[in-house]
Amino acid sequence: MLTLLARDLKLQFRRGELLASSFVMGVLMLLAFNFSLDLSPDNVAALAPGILWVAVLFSAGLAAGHGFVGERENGCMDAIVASPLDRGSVYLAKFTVNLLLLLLFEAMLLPVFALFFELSVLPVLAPLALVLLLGSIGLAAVGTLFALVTVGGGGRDLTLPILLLPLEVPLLIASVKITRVVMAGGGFPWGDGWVRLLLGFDLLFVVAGWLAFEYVATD
Amino acid sequence: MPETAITCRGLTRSFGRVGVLRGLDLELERGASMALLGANGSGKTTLLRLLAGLLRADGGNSTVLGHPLPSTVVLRRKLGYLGHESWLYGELSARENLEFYCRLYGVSDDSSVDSLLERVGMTRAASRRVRSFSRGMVQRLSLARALLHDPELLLLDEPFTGLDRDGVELLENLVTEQRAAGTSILMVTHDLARVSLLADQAVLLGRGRVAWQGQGNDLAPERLEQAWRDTASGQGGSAATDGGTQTC
Repeated sequence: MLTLLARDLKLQFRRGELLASSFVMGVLMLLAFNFSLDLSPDNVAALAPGILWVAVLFSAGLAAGHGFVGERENGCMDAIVASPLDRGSVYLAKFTVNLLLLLLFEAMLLPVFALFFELSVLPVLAPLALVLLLGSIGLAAVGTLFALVTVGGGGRDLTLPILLLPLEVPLLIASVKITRVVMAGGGFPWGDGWVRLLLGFDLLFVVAGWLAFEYVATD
Repeated sequence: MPETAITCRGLTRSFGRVGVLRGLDLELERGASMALLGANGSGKTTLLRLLAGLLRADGGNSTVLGHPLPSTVVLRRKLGYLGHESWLYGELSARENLEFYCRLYGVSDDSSVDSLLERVGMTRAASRRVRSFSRGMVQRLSLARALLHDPELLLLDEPFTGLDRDGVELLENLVTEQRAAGTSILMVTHDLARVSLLADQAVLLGRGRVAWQGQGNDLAPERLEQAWRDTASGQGGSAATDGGTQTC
């Protein structure tokens, strides 16, 4: 698993296009929302969490499509499937790479977000980082599984978002609700039902991806 | 140690409503080399992919090196596969590709990479990224990839594709070495002239089953040609060749 993880990170950073394109897309979305919405000090706290998560969601979809970038060419996905690696471990390696790249992307996007919307995120950085982590786990888990489904098919750039977005709606709602509480200075709402939903979503899709990978990869 | 490298009984596999393998029976003894022949769409590549664990069968029973399919981690460690695609990462150099596969297959000896690069005549290109290679160079490196963990069973799908004369000679020598070392080989090829050089037996697939099989003198190109024509025209019984066996 570590071999695959190291190789994937090497490929991603050697190309560099994924992180750059995700970041540019995220910034453009923040910019578009900033200009298109009539933001004022009265409504920015209510709207900003949704804007942040929509930017993260779409950039994560883009990243998921590139998650198997190394395997798309020359049939390398077959090489991984035919290798003596445990197939569940292959999923976990891919999921981890997607998660790390997503977290890196969010770390780059967060200062831009704070700047555009004139929000002070430093006082709430710890609980905000936690909700971003939990949301990103779910996004990476779903994205990794569905990226594999579409890895060999034509028109995958269109297919992937169509498959992903409806599934990610519960995660989006929960993440926005929790982020709103966090940014209002209320700390991380551990007992909240939305947190339980987010944790459940993460657990469900990480386990489902780990179990289903073998069947998806060999048919 | 089981005596057969491959045993298939009633193997079936469909894609949608198209049946590609329709109750295929096949046996390959350990250490033997078999050429798998047949027209396009006869199921050769599907069979190899099933045996390599890349596909699941719809029905039938198969064992590979004594392990029942679907394949396990232990079985996959013993298989070498060279298919239509190179399975090489274009962004990595030749050496990085082989080092990556060494780690995947638990080959700890780094000197084996150098030795393999030398065997396939790629030492001078070891540090170049694979995306800059010609088709023949890619095929040579793919062959090194398939051999780096000393597999007990080699599955080769049209391995001569893209090779120049030196490459063909190199591949023939490597296959001969592997046969001498006792590696079992199942090789898809359309090159009837090479069958008798590289295989002990040949099987001709037609309509998802073994349509003809032969060995020894049956592997002469003209006999294979005759068997091919008979299978294509759907002729049955003993009219196929003098020695081969028409099975469907």
